[in-house]
Amino acid sequence: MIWELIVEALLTLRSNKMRTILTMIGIILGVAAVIAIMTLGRSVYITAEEEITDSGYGNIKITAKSAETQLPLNQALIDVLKSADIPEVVNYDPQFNGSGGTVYNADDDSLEIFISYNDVRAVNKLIFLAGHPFSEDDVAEKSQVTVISAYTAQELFGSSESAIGQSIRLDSGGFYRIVGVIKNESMFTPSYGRLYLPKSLGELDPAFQTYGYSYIDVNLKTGADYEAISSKLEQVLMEAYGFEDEEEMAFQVENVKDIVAQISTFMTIFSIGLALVAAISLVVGGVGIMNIMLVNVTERTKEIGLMKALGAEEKDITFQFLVEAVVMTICGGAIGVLLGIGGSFLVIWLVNTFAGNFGNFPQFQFVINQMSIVVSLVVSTAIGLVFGSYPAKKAAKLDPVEALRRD
Amino acid sequence: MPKKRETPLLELSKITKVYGSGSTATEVLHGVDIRICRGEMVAIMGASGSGKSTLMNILGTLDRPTTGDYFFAAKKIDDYSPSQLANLRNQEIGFVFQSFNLLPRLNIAKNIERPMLYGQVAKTKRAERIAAVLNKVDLLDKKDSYPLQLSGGQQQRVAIARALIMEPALILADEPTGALDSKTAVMVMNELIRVNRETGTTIVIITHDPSVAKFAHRTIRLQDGKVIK
Repeated sequence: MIWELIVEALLTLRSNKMRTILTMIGIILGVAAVIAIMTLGRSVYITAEEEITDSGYGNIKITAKSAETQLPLNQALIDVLKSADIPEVVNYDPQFNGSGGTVYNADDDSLEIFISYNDVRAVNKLIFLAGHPFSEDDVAEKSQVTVISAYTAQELFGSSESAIGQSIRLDSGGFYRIVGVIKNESMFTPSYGRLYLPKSLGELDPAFQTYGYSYIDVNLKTGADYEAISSKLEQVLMEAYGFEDEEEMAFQVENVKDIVAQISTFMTIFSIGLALVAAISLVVGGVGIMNIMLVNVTERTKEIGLMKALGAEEKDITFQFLVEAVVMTICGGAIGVLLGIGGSFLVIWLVNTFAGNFGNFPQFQFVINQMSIVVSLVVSTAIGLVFGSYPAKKAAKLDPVEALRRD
Repeated sequence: MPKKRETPLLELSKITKVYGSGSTATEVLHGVDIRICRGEMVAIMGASGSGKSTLMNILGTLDRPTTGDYFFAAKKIDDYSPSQLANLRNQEIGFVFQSFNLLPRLNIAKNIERPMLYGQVAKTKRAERIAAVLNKVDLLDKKDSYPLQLSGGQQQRVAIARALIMEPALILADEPTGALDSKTAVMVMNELIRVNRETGTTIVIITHDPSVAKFAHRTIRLQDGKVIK
């Protein structure tokens, strides 16, 4: 009987196509929005997790808590860490991000820029408009070479091509030969003056001499216990510098898991928040279903009278109208799921295809969040049951004499 | 089979029906006694306002009398629950309405199948039974048509087929020819006579039209809520 009722419900809904589709739109959009948010959230999270775990980031990262600590992340600190002789640590890899400065061309035209110190691997990832990245030899020999952004080239030399081979001077001293020009990194800040120097030159930067490294990557052997080593490193630093407690501690020891966990928490809260907003549209959709089912019951009053005359019990009638409501919400839910997945796929495809034009974007992975599909379909069914039950009960309770008299 | 006619299928005893309450109460039936035996074909005749619609609803168990007893096949059904009454209608009473009441979105076979859904008749047996009743009213070839593709007379014969599908004891026909021209009306009435004769199904026809009533074995006249001789 249930299958027959479902088939009949489908026939009934088909005979009223326009109305059915309009009624389902609330559910379709609600479910599509929830699915899209969950899918995109998941994709961003997975992508971010991978970027963090297997990219330039070390396994554990030591940073200064604030600039005022007066305790630079310098070689002395690394020596302290090294003397602790933790067997799981492969090496301590200090990183210096860079600093601000002013750059001049031969005519003494100047430009405010940000100087970033990079290894060859990082520079290779950039998109070159002219020239080429600096080489491992350049890094090893501390060659005075640089890669600049297109904007910098434009401002100081008129074009990317004409900048190649030219020399620039930094306010901190020293001349650098331009070997490459890269695309501006961000679409949002086109006026981007940027200079890339071999990593080994970082130690000459005045900012480095004052503040030390930006952070120290601690690379661990595979399978090492992040948490344990993090706290061991913290211990070493606290003892070496005489910090009494967490409050006094001038350094922060973060491990990748912490960072991933932070991102995960953030993404979860963010996704749930957005999904809740989207869920409001599901409730609105449910009210739409209830409304149209009430119209249905009124329009089919005579049919309900007939059903009773033919021997339908109240539960048969309740059931038939509930099935109709649920079929409608499940169809809406299923269309919504497809739309949500399709939409997310399209967004991710667009980002992966075109975002590279505007800077250094990771390739986002497309991950279907299966749980969200199950939940959406369950919720759709529940909406049909909840919002369909009042109209269905109303239909079942109709007085057959009155109902048959209706036209 | 005169012996069989002796067994009362329907027995109404001192039935009254009051609508409303207090000062606005209106008594529509004032103590109606009716006995209809198995196999009979009876017309209940009355002008509009005579209470015949109310009586029909009570006979069909769609409505309950205010006082009095209703015995169906010797069982007192006044205390039946709504589901028990629904089952009784499903198994024992076939309705034929003035306006046919076929569902336009279902084809003829599906329309006739309806009562079997509520009666939990096994799916495997349904097609055969549908064919049998359609054959009885000579509309087997219209099985896959839709109601609005048929003439009024054909639709009413489909309705008769639907009324027969559960092999009920009683067919209750409310102005069955009211929406038909006189020639078609005669055809439909002959159909009912044939059903009555061939299956022995008791048939009660509610009508205001003497030319319809004359097809019945006997006529019960109703006037101002009372049975008159």
